[in-house]
Amino acid sequence: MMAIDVKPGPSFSVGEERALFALSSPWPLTVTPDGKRFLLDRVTESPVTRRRFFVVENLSAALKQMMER
Amino acid sequence: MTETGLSLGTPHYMSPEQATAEKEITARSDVYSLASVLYEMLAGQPPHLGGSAQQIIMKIIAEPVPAVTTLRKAVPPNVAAALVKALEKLPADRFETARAFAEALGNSAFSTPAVAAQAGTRPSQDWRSRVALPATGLSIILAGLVIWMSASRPGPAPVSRYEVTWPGTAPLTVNVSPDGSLLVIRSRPDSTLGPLLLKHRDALDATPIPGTDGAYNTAFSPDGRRIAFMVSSNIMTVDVSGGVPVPVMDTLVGSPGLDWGPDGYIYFDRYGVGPLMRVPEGGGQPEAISTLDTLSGELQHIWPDLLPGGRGAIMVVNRTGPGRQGAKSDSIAVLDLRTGRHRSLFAGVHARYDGHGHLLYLTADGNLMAVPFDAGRLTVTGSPIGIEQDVSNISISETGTLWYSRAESSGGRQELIWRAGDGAPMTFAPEVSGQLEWFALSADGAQVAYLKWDRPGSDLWVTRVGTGRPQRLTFNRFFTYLSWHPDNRRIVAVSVDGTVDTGAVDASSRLGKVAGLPRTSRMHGGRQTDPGCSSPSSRAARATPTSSAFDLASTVRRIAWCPNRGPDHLRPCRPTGTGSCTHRRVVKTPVIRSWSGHFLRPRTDCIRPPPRAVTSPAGRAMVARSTTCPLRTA
Repeated sequence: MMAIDVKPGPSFSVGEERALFALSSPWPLTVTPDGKRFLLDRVTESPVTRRRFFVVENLSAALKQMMER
Repeated sequence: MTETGLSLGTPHYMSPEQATAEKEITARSDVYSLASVLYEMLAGQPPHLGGSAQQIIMKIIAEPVPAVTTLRKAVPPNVAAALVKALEKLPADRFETARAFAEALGNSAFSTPAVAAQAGTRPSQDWRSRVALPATGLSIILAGLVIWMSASRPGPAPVSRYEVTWPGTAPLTVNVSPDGSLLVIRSRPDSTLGPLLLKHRDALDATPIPGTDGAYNTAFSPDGRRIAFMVSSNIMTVDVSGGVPVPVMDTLVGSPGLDWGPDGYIYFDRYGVGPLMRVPEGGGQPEAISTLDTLSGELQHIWPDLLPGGRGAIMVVNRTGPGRQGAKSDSIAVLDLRTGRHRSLFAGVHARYDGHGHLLYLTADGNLMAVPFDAGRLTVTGSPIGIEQDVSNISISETGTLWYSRAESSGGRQELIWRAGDGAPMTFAPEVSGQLEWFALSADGAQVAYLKWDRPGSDLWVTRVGTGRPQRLTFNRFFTYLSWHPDNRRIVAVSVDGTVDTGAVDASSRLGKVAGLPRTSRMHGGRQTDPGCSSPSSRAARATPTSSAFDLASTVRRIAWCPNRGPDHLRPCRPTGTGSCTHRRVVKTPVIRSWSGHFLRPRTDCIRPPPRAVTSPAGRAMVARSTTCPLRTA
C-alpha cells in the first residue's frame, strides 16, 4: 500500500510516494475519512476448487439418434 | 472356443486398433480385416501367425506384414501394393473405404512408393502372363467380402461416459485433438501455471511441453500436429512432437479464446477488447473479422470456434465487459466469414461444434446443451436438448469424443480487519466473515457495506463499525461491486448482469432497513449518455460494470474512469462544475494511453486501463493500481 500527498486544484501537484505496508491482494480496500486506517479483508480459509473430468465416447452418434427421435 | 478377455472369433483378421481395444473403430478397420482375408486367400496363410491369440495380437500391433509376394510371387504388383496400403498399422494410412480398396485392386497401375522401390530392384517380369487370379476376379471376391463384412459388422459403437482420475492435482482444463488421440492439459502445480502437458490418450503419463510455462489457452491445428497457446499476451505455436515454441504475435491484452482455422489463420479474441481477430499462423498482420453491434450493447466477441470449411465461426457475444464473461446476457452467435456479419442464436456462454451437425454449448448456469446445427447454412435446425449440469469446460474431437469438467468449489472465508498506517493489524467485526466479494466504508467511516457470497448469489449486507450487527439488505441477487453515496445513506450496487441498483439505508433505525434497491438501469456501453460519470453535485450517480476502472458518486470530485462505449472506445471523462460530464476520446486502440487522475487536469500515463480507483472520503487522495502501471494517485 502506497500513499502520496496531493494538492488538488488548477495547479494539481503530487508529492513523493511512500510505502505503508504490504498487501496480499490489492482489492478491495477502503480508508477512513482521516486517512489513518485502512479496512482490508484477510483470508482465513483459502478457496478450494475440485475439478472432475469426464469423457463421453461417441457423443455425436448419440446426439444424432436423440435428435432423430 | 474363446479365450477370456477376447472377442468371439479369430484374432487373425483384427485390425491393430481392434486389437488394442480402441473405442473408435471406423471403416478403415474393416478395410484392414478385408485385406487380411484377401491376403490369406492369395498366400495361403493370414498376415500374422502365432502360437496363441496373444502372440497374434502382439504381431498385429507391432510387426510389419510380410509382403504377399514373398509367399506367392505371382501376385500382381498393384494387388501387392493395395494389400500393403490396406494393412497399414495406422488407420489414416489405409484406404478410406472398401470401394477405394477394390478400385486399387482393379487398377493395374496402382502402386505405393515402397512397392515401387521394391519392384525397381527386381528383374522385370511379365507378371500378367502368370497371374493366376485376374484383378477382375479379385474385385468380385472383394465385393462379396464387403457385403459379408457389412452384414456381420456390429452396429454403431456404444455411447459411454466415464470419469477420468489424475495422479496428483487435477488439471485446470483438457483440450482434445481433432482425432481424439492427444490431450493438451493445462495445470497449476503450485501457485503459478505450469507448462502445458501433452498426453497420448492411451498413455499413462503426460509429458511437459518445453517453453510453455504459464500458458493459459490452447488450440490444436486442424491436423492435430501443432498447438497454439497463449503466454502473457503472446500467441505462440509449438509442434506436438517437440521443438522450440514459435511466436506468432503479441495481442497486447491477452486472449481468453483461441482457435486454429482450416484456412491457415489463428483466430483469437482480446481480453476485454472488441471484435474477433485473426492472424496468419506463421505470423503477420492481424485483422478484425467481426463488427460489434454497440447499439445492442455488444462489448466483446469471444471464444471463436471455426466451422468446417472455414465459412463461418461460432463465437460468444459478451455484453457485460471485461472480467464479466459468463453472464446470462451473453449469447452464442454465428459469424459469416464471407460477409463479416454475425447473428446471435441463443443465450449461452461457450460453444463448440462437434463436426457432425451439433452445437454443444454451456449456459450461464452451467448446463451443457446440444442443438442441431447446419454448418453449411450457418443455421440452427432443431431444438436444444440438455446433456449435463454443472459443467465448466468442454472440448470435443471431430470423432465425437467429448471431454468436460465439473468444478466443485468452496469459496473460502475472509474477515475484515483494520490496519493502521504502519500496517499493524486489528481485528474488526468478526461477525463480518464469509466469502466476501466486495466491501466499502461509508464516507463518514461509521458503516461498512459488503457483498457476501451465499449460494446462489452475492447479496448486500451492512453493519455499523464497532457496534452493529450485520444486516442483510438483499436476497438472491448477484452483486459484484458497491459504493456509498457521500450522504452516508445511499448505496449503489452493480450486478453481474449489468444492472445497477440504488437504495438508502434507513438512518432512523441506524442501520438495516433499506428504502429499496430498485433496479434503475442496465448500463451497457453505447446506451447511456454519460454512463459511469457522476457529477460533482453527486446528483447523477451512475455506474457501469463495463468499465475497467470506475468509481461512483461517493468518490465525488474524483472520477478516475468512465466506462467505455465499446471496446474500442475506452476513454476517460471529466465531471464539470455544471454537473454534466464531458468526455474525451483518447485512442481507438486496445490500450489506453493516458487516464484522467483529476477532474480538472488529466494526468498520468498508464498505457493500460487501471482496475479500480479508490478515493479517500475526504477527497484528499485517490489511489489506483494496475498490473502494468505503477501506483497512480491524484
